[in-house]
Amino acid sequence: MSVEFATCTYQYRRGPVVLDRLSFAFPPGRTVLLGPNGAGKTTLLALAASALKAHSGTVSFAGLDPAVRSQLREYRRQVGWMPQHITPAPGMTCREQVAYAGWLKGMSRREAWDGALAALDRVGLARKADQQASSLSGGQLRRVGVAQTLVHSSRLVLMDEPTAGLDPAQRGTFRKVVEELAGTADVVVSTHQTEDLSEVYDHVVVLSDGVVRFTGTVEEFYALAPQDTASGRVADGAYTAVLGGGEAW
Amino acid sequence: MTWWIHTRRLALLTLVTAGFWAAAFTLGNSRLPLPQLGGATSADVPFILFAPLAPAIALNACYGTPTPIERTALRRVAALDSLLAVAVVAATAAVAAPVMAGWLSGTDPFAAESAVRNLALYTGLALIGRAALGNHASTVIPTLLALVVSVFGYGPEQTAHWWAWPAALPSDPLSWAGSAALLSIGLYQTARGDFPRR
Amino acid sequence: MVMFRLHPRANAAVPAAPVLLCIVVLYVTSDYVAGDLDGYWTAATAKAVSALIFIAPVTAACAAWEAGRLRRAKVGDGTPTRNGWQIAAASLAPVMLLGFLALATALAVVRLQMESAPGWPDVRIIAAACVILCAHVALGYAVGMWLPAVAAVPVVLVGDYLWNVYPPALEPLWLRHLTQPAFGCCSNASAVYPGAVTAPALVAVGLAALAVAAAAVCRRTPRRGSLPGSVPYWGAALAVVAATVTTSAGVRLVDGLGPDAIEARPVSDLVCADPRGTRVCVWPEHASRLTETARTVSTAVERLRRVGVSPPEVVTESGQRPGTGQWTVTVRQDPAFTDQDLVTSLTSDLTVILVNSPHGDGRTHCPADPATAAQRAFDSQDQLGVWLSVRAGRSQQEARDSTDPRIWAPVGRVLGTSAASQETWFQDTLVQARCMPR
Repeated sequence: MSVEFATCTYQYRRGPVVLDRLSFAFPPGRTVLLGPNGAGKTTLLALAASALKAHSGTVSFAGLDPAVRSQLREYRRQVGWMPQHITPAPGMTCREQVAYAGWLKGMSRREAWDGALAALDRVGLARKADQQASSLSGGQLRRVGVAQTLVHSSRLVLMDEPTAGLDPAQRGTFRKVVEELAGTADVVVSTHQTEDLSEVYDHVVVLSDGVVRFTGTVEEFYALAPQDTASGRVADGAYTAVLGGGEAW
Repeated sequence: MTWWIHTRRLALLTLVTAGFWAAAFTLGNSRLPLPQLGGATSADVPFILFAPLAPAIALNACYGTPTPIERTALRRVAALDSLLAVAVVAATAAVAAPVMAGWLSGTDPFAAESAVRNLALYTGLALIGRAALGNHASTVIPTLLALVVSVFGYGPEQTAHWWAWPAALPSDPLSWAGSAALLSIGLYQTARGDFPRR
Repeated sequence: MVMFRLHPRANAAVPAAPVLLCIVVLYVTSDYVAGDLDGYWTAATAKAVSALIFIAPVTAACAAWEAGRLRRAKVGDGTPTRNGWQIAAASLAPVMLLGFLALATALAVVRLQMESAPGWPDVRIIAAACVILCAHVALGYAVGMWLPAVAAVPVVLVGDYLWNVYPPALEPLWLRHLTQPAFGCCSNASAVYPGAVTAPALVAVGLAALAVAAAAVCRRTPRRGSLPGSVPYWGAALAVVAATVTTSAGVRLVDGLGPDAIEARPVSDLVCADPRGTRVCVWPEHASRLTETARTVSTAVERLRRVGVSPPEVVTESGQRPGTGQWTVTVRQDPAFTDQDLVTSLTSDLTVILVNSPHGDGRTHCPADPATAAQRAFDSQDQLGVWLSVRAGRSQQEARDSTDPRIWAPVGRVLGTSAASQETWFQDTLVQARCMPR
């Protein structure tokens, strides 16, 4: 059971059609979403998070449709989302910002306040809990974004480029976070980082021009790489092969 | 709730609104002789035509651009934003009520009544602007209305045109109904932000 | 080398342009501006640049919006290779262009409403208007850097509009001359007071200095590199000093002025003709009507001489030093202003001259009660004016139609009597008109 799209169409105001009658379901477990810039990854995740509403078609998770008002609340309770851009709230500390995210997801003030510190600890930012969020670096702010997603317990966690701007050590911490989540939630991560896919994710989905070009296990994905691909560049080779040798990143 | 209050900079909004009350009830009856292009050669435009722009602008400035995570919140944050707008108008009405009822002498009921009506109108327009144009340009709509009314709103005999609601006499029912309608539309548009949008 | 590329399509000045230009055209064609232009460029220029009350707020608001765009794009957080002036110029050039275009439109529309306009627009007033426009744009940019667009644009729009339109409602009267150049200028007989052109430009320079300093100390302002620690603060202090100095100088220039920024127009501007003894002078914008005016005036002077009014040496449009030797006359470009109107204006001014001229018979014939004396003096002066106009050549029919029947009745009666009776009536009525209590 994971998030499912049925003939979904989405177009930004005065913009091009991003998704055109897309029918597709993310496989359960840990999934990485790959695709070139402008492929529709962010739109897909925002639709799944119920931040956006499809022009036509439906999105559902665990039998819940966010377009149905009576199901929206429960849908949002079960789905956590880390947006692509993390905006520091003016005057708020990191802990307050994470706690605010928990409160928004229906947690009590006390639960959110306690949970915020735990979530910051998981992303290695406990020491910065009382620091103004606006004073953090880009990478640290991104980790606050991850903590905002972890503070409440969701059955589906959607993260939009959570590792952009993270140093290798922090990417390692993030891998650990995803592994820990695997027992309790389905995870979908949009990223451009292809190293160590097999260590972190179960499935790969490749999206291009609003169309799902590939969905399968990591092993099946790697198998698409040309035979002569260097061992360290198998994922890149497979990705290029999926896109037909055209536009890559 | 306190975190939401923090993100909405309620202290700033309270300060501006209180300043508006003070200005409206002390200077509300002042008039500015401004050139007119709407029929009259010049008109004495009441200060209260412009003053309610301050809390309407402050309200939208305090909303800021919502953080993306609010768009997937369980709590009805956008409804809270609507309530905040209602609170500003209602508090102004409550403060103006003794003057409007004639219980307080020394302050003109015209200023008090116009303050409430114009604040409702400008707040409604600012909220509609926020939904239609985005937060940055939202306050341009009520500001342009105030300026258009101050320049074109008066006909011969210095009477306000039927459409110049902020300049209308407080006894004009159309101006009250129109202001209330626009405020309602603005509140509804804002509250809808709790649901997924295209 | 291309300094920068303009992208006018995305600039706030583009959507603002049609609205602003429409308002400017409506304003300069309204009675408020177009009522009394009469071919005098100084007056027309002053009226045209009074459209700054709309142009300045709109352009300043556009500048605030553009500053907001730079803020949102976080250009200041980047590492631009161009300096702050160039970055601001790239954003503000279309806004400035819009302001100048709106001023040019105002001048062009004003020109279209004049029959003819010898000479050129007053360059001093236009230059002052341009300085004021630049200052307001700079101010809008600075406010836009400090406040988010959601607050900056309305604050600038309303604040700037009130800054422009409110001072005329305030005391002391000279305050209005600090915000608008050549305010209240001019009738044909007046010239603009130069201090009232310089003063608002000086105040604008002070404002611009404050705006530049405010933008410089704002950390969001895009610039190449950061300024050394104390420089912004020294700059701010310098701007405050500059604003104080320029404002004080501006105040000194206008603090003696009344509601209008005018002084007497030099008589050297007059264009004169000398037909049959009486010299007739008009302003250059009425030169096309000089021959007609000279002919009508000469005829009127000759007819008045026959009823005992001594002819003057000069009849002029200049209102300086009127007296029995120098009469005044009003001329208009408007073709609807006929020789009958010329005669009426001539005799109307002449009546005042005659009533106020020194006389030796004292006030022995005046009623003792001041109110009665005043009423009789007013009536007599009105009757005298109508009688003189008819004697000078105005048609009786027109005079009767445009005069209060109570005033016309004695005049009509006397006009039917002999020349000697009329001269006696003239002298008696003149004596009565001089009974105004002083």
